[in-house]
Amino acid sequence: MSPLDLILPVGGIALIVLVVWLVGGLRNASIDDTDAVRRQLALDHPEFEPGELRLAADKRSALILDRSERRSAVLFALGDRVTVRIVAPGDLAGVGACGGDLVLTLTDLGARRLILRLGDAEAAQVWAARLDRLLIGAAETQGSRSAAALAS
Amino acid sequence: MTLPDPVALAVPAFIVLVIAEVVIARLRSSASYELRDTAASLLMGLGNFAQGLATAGLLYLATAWVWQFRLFDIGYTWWAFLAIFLAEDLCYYWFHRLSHEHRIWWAAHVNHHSSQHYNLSTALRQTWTGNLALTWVVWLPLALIGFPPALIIFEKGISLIYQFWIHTEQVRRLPRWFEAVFNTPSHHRVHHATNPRYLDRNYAGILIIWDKLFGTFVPEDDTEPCRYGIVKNLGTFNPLRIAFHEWAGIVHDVRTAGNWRERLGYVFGPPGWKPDGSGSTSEAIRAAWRARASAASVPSSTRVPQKG
Repeated sequence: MSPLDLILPVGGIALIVLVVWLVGGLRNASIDDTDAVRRQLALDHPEFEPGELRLAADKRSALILDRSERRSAVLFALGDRVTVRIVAPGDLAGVGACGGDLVLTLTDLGARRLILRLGDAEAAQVWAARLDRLLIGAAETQGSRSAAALAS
Repeated sequence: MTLPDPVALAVPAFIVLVIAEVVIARLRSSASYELRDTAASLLMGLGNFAQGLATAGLLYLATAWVWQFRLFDIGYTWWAFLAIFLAEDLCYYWFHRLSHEHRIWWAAHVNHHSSQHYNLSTALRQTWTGNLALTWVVWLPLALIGFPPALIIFEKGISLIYQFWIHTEQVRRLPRWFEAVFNTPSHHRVHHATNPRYLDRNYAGILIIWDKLFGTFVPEDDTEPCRYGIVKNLGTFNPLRIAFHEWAGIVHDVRTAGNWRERLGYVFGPPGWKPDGSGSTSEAIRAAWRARASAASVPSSTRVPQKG
């Protein structure tokens, strides 16, 4: 193996990244209104029935409860794309409010921490308590039911 | 006979073609490339290159060990190149299909599908853990039949190079005869899409005939644009998380499983499998889509194709 075998891929990566940057490749998606949220949800998860909805103040994320209130959907901007994650009981490892931010910690390493900048400390606390009750509480209840079933 | 390393020879072409596609996409005002997504894909490619260097010797030794029990002495005759082209492509089809149908191999392959973009850099978003997951065993029968190990490795390189150029949205359709026989950008866009109609279809490497033969072919429908990515799209551009998130998911699920049936299901079942049957597997997503389509009595142009 010659040094060129290493220099060429590394140099190539640097060159490509530079060209993508030069043509304006650093872009951020924004979630402008609730209609956009519903459209995206209908496309990616048509079975999800959106109920209450909250847009983040920075237009980079949104949180939606489904009508049954047994799960929620989080939309968030990742680069120039908007991604949807359905968060059901068992998917959420923790939830909390930090100032005006709602911080979700998922069990999935691929989307570990989602921060929704609500810009409203009170709203962040209300949503955190709600998600804690609906999703973490529900998962624990399910877990204890399973444990009881196994024990019996 | 000494065969060249086709992938090493192709690296300069990869770089030139990616840059050409970036420029063409920009001229066409297509939002094909995003900086962090591209960087992540390229770093995944670099990591794959490094792990390939680290494991190439072991893979060659394993293949050579099997080859000593070969049924035939095929050697490097002209027809051996033709036969390995077909046989390797068939192995690739099954490796690829199994990688989508069983979570333990999906964990190694998922990173290739994790971009929500579809361009030549996506082709380089390659696995870091495929060799560790023993996906290479699919090609061992070729050595047992009698194909020399160097010929098998050469053909795998040719297949990888072929599959590079089909990761593009800049080419819409190729001549009908070509689309009928070969894997093309159109067929492979379908493979990378998460639309229920397209999910887990078109596994081909070079020849699309395998999908037609085994019932996994779906043509691209211009009325339904592909939505790229995975069912649970990632929230990160971090290559380490991209490479290992599904492995971490397997560990998490196995640790929280209640019994051995569940543990085995989480490891060897289809991606998305859950013990209570509520998981979002490809088949479950497709079934729900079919049910919705039937309920909505969609127009015939968009009606759900029946399998078989």
